[in-house]
Amino acid sequence: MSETIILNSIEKKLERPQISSPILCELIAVSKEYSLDSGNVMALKDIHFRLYEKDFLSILGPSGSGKSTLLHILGLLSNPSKGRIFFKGQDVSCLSEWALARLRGQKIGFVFQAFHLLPSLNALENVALPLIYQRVSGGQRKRKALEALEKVGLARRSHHFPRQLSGGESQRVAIARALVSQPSLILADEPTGNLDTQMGKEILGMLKMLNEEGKTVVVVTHDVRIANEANRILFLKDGKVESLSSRGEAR
Amino acid sequence: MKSHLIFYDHLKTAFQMVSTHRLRSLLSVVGIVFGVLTLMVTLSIGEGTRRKIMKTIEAMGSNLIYVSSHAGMSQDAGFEYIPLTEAECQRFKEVKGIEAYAPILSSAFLMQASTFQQVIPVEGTTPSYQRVRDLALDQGRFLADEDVLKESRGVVIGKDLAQFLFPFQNPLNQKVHLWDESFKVVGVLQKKGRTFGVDFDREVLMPLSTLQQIQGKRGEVQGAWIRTPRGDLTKQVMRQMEILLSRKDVEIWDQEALLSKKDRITRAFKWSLGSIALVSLLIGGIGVMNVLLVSVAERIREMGLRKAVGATSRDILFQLIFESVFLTLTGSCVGILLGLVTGDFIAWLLNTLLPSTEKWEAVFSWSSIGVAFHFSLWVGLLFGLYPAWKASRLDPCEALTYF
Repeated sequence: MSETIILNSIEKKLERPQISSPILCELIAVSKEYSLDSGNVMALKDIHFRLYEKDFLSILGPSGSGKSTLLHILGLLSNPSKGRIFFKGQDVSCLSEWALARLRGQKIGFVFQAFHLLPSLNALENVALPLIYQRVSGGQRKRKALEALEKVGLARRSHHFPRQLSGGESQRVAIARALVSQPSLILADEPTGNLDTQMGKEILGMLKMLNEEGKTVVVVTHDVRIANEANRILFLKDGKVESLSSRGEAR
Repeated sequence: MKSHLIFYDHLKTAFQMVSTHRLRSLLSVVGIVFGVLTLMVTLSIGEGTRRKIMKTIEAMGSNLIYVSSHAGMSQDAGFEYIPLTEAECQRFKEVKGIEAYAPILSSAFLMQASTFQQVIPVEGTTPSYQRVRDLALDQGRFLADEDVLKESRGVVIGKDLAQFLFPFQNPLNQKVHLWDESFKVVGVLQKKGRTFGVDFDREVLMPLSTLQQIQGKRGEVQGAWIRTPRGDLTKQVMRQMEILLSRKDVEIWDQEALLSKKDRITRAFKWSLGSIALVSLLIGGIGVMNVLLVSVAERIREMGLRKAVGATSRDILFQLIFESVFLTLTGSCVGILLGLVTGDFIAWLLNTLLPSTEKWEAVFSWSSIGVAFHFSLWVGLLFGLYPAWKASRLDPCEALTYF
């Protein structure tokens, strides 16, 4: 009973987006505390927000503001110290490690600043990696991975190894990997950080295209220009939500 | 869950790890390779030696019995040795089922010849020894009753010794010098080879009384060989002899008793060397663990990524254990191959250095390969567990931002 009261009061705090679509992910009073040698650090403090399906959100903030921590929590890679997370209406704190891993593998795709391609695997095998853990058979894996590579325009490079690919190509392979299990949410952590402007634009265009096709996209960045490409901007400072605004309202 | 799919992927990942870090993987499994190699050589040479000894004892014949007294603890806490006497041996006549018997006294003397100087085994015995040990003569005659009576200086020598001493002469009636006495060769044995401790081809047989006189052991013998008409009579004869001698410090052996004793000895040999091999396998496991720990530390970001794309801690755990087992099994394959080659080489070396009638051999057996595989599998599991557990416990967020 008290929970509904809390939820209602939270409701008022949350900003409504212009789009009206179902909630994909909801964070309620989420805090994250790290214990370091020098003492405890609050990386996130009392975060509330909702992520809607087909949303394109950017998380903007200076370094050390807790952007990556928030992304990891959204990606179910780490548990909050306090608060709750609902993913598709399900309280994820009740899920087992195995169920979380499955949810990550099937519903969430990650794109990282450092690409994180495995050097011993070729492009196709890198893209197919998430499917291994979903126990997809070899033939299907290859077919799906090739489809994803085609989508990012790299099908002809499928047998190249990461060291033979340029930065832009590597990130496109990483996007293909994020797409291969057809997730509903794509989380990108500084996806253009290691790329030049031209390449960065290309990658951003690709994320936009995916959003237009119906995927929810969250991009973490410290670059206002990149943040402005999103529909909504969450501004994070010192682990707190400073503002949550629509496009063009960011400072 | 279709676990065979992930099994194949683990295999592929393990193979990639080994092939991208060839030198490191090689060095890490050196311990395993040598452990398995030692195990294989121990088992194959051990089994070969066992068979060789068994063949030698079998060649002795199932209808022979050997009696000897052995040192026992005396009342004043020292070793006491009461030899058998000729008089005791005389009483063997009373035992039913004995075809022939021969008392013996063994010794070794320095033989001086123009070309060499060497310690030669010498046995003092009676004419019946020829019948008991089934010795055939190449030249001349065997020891006669008269030789024993007169303490004569006539000796019968082995074929190899004869050829060595007198390569261009007829050895008969030639003089040989043992210690500071001179002896005359009255006979040369046919080649017989080494049977149970005695190399008839290289020894000297002289009258028992002569040797007793030289050694000042009148009436004493070391033991006696007894021949029964049939192999199935030995047990019965042995029982009778025990009662006849009624001495606790006497050992009576027949082929069967010797076989089981030698079998115990070679088994003990195999197990003691085998356990050294197992210890080196365990140490080899530490090498593998070390490399896996390095490999995990190097691939922290990879582990993070695998978790981000849906791997569970269990997937990571199994993958690393798989890599460990893959490494040790690869090492043990190399060890098995090297072990087979080394076993044959050692057998060849033994045959060259210590030639004998029964050849040394390295006995190949599937069971030793099974043992080697089995132990390396366990070593892989055991020593892979800690690195694998460590990798599976990595926090994916920290792992992904690790530099």
